[in-house]
Amino acid sequence: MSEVLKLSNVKKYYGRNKVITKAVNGISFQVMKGEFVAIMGASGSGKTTLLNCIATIDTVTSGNIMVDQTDITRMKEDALADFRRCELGFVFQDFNLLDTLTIRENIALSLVVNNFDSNEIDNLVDSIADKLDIKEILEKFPYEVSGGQKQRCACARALINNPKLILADEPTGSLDSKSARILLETMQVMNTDLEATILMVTHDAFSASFCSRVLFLKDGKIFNEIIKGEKSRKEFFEEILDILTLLGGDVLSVK
Amino acid sequence: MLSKLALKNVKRSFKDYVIYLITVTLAFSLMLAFNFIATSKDVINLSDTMKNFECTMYIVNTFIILSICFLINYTTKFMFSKRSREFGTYMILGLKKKQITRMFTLENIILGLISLVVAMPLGYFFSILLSAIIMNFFELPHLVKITLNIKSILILILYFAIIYFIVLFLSRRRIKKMKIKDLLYFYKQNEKPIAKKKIKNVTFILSLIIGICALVFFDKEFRGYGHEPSMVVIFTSIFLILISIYGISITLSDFLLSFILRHKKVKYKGNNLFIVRNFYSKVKSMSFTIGTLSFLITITLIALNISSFFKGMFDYQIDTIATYDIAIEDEREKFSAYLDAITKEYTISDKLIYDTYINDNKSITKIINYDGWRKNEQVIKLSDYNKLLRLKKSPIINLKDNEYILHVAREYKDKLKEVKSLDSITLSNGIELKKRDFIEQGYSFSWGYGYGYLVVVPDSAVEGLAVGDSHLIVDTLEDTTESFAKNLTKIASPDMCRENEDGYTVCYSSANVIVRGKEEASNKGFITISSFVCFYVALIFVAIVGTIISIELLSESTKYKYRYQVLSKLGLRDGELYKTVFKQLSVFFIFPIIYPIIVSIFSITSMNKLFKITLTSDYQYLQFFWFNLVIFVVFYLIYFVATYFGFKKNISE
Ligand SMILES: Nc1ncnc2c1ncn2[C@@H]1O[C@H](COP(=O)(O)OP(=O)(O)OP(=O)(O)O)[C@@H](O)[C@H]1O
Ligand SMILES: [Mg+2]
Repeated sequence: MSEVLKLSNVKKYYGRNKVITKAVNGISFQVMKGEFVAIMGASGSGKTTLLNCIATIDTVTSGNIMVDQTDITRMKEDALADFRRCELGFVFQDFNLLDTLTIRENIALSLVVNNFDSNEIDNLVDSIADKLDIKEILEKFPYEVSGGQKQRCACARALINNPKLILADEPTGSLDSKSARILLETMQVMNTDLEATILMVTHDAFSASFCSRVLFLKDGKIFNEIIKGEKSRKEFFEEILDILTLLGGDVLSVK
Repeated sequence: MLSKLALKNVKRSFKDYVIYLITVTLAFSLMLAFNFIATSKDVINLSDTMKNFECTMYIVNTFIILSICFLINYTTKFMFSKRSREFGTYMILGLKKKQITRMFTLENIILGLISLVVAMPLGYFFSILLSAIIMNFFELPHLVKITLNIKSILILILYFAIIYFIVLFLSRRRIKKMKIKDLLYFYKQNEKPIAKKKIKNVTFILSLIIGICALVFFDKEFRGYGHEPSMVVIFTSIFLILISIYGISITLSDFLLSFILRHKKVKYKGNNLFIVRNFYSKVKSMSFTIGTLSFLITITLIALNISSFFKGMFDYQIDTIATYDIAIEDEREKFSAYLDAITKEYTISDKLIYDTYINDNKSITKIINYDGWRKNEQVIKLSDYNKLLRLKKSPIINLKDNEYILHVAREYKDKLKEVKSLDSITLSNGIELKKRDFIEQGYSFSWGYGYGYLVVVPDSAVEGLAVGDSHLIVDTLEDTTESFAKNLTKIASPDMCRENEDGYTVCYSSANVIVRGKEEASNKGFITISSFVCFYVALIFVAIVGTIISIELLSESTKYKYRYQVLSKLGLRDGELYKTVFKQLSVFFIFPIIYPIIVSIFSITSMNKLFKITLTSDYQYLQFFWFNLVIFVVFYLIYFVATYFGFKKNISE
């Protein structure tokens, strides 16, 4: 298996002069093609920042991020756009849906940017909406649907054009366990069938137990890392909980 | 397909920008209308001064273009910030920045082109309307033809190109600098850290002090008639006023808020707190813009008032110079020739021939330090004076044998009033007269050309004085014309007329001929130009200010919708709700005009020192001020009402 993502000593500092927040403070890890990795950590530990850097939404302060052997921190504007269009699917923590477009139009957006044929767009939107159980709300506007539905819509938008690298910031944050399971299974299918590499930030151990590997962040650094391997999901779940207890603090109180 | 979605996006927020599009269209069509009129041959030929109209328009249009640039740039920036998340989303989905820039540029050009195309027929319509007003002004029976000349249209297109070139250049640069993260989190970025309250209050007081100082400097420069104000001081004080306007606009809301929070009675009365909080959060985010708006309003008010000053000045001049239809000062033998010429054209309703006498004692000339070409003092018989007054429809006056009256033009009133040595004067024939009256209203320069005063004495007192000038005064039934004045001038000294290299006949004469029609024509030209230009500037500035406030408020109405829903859940009835909306919007509309009104009233009071001697009274400018304020408020109200109904519709949806 080839290496899809390789971070070496990535740092991201916010602020200037006196008050510097070291949101990401020297993170290195690798992700193989087709891996499903969870990132966990307390609030403010730098998860969103890390994901933003990988997604090229934000720039790093220092360090390199290699995607398929190319360093995206050195890429030109246009090449980055191509990278985002062809390779990347991004799910925002705050959904980031456009209020003036319907849910259908929001989901279709990434296909539209890719110049898909309009018939094909409709079919693809219908099929993913079917899978994520949001078919009934397709013609509504974002402010007319619930938080969980919005979240699934945001996922649908990121997944619809089968990206090679999916970055999801708490995709199950406001979902009940049934909807969360449906979403996670959808992602798992994409992961196994389409060989998509997935990096998912999550707060709860249940979601993390769907992954093949879990990275734990603390104060912008990797604190621990566990691999599922041959373990059952239940065993893996217990193991994650153990580490979270070790990490202590507010993580446990979240779920 | 993407452009389709983007268009859908635009359409859904379109109604908030309707006022903007109307304003831009209005501005373009007014520009075109004024260009049509300024280049129309019929209008230019109305009078000699109208020839400057075209040139004036180019200068004024430069300022108009700049302010329209400000409006369009502001709105583009505003639309961009409202849509930044949309653009950020496009980018994270893989759209290139170039494509986004192209899309945004195209959208704006299309919107602009729509306004331009609509503005063309509208501009033509406006030019017809305006020319009708001009015709009315000049009391012309015949039609003023406005030709659809290509030049004006091309100039408008050139203006359009300049405006959009500047605006799009600025917005492209803005987009280029934007990072994808800035776009996605633009709304969070907007909440800039604000200066500490204390600093703001200090700034407020400082700005106020700067403003007061500037107004005092400005005032000191206008010392009155005959004192040229120094341009350096004037421009410095204008600059200081500008700083003070911005300073106050930025800090006033904080000052008000801390004031209201400190006074519990005001704070908890009605919905005051709700209104003040909403107002405060909005004003804070657009304080610099409010400074610019206040500045534009100040210019508008001052421009309108200067226009009134000129109009008042010329009305007064007509009254004082061309008091009678025709006034001639020449040798007595020539009067029959003049009268012949006049009877040929008009019906004479009244005429008067009289002499003025020369007093060599110069008791008045000494005091006013006169150094012009009139070396003597003119004295007039009471009977002639009363005849002149009667023609003017003023009440007549009686004098005892040892009394005289001093009637002066407003220029000299300060110099001659209450001068002890004039309480009694001795004429060069030895007759001593006591001053009975000092009159400063209603002086006419037709009484003796080149003088600014008149000594009225009993008929018996002129015995022994030499005759100075002979005068012929004629009132006609019909209105006199500019061209007739040229006929009379030819009679004045026919041998001294010659043609110059441009083909005009220029006459030189020791006689003086004043024809009311001619004075009116040249003054009307000037008044038309200045008042049209001032109204044009005022209209466009008011429109820009109204539009920006309106866009800001309407785009927020969805946000307010939830705030108002909270209020209605708290038990506020619909009527009260709308009253709150009304109050809230009024506060926004009134806020930027408070300081400009104060600044403009003070500055025109200063300018009045210069203008007052040419106006019918010292306080006439206050009438002008109210009149212009009403005009401004009427225009402004249109925007307020439109915003109010738009807002009401948005929150009740
Ligand atoms: N734009 C910014 N400017 C300054 N500091 C920032 C900025 N964005 C994030 N931070 C800081 O960086 C740190 C990491 O933030 P980040 O959003 O990555 O946390 P997170 O792990 O995603 O937290 P959560 O689980 O609450 O989403 C925090 O301390 C945060 O305050
Ligand atoms: Mg986060």
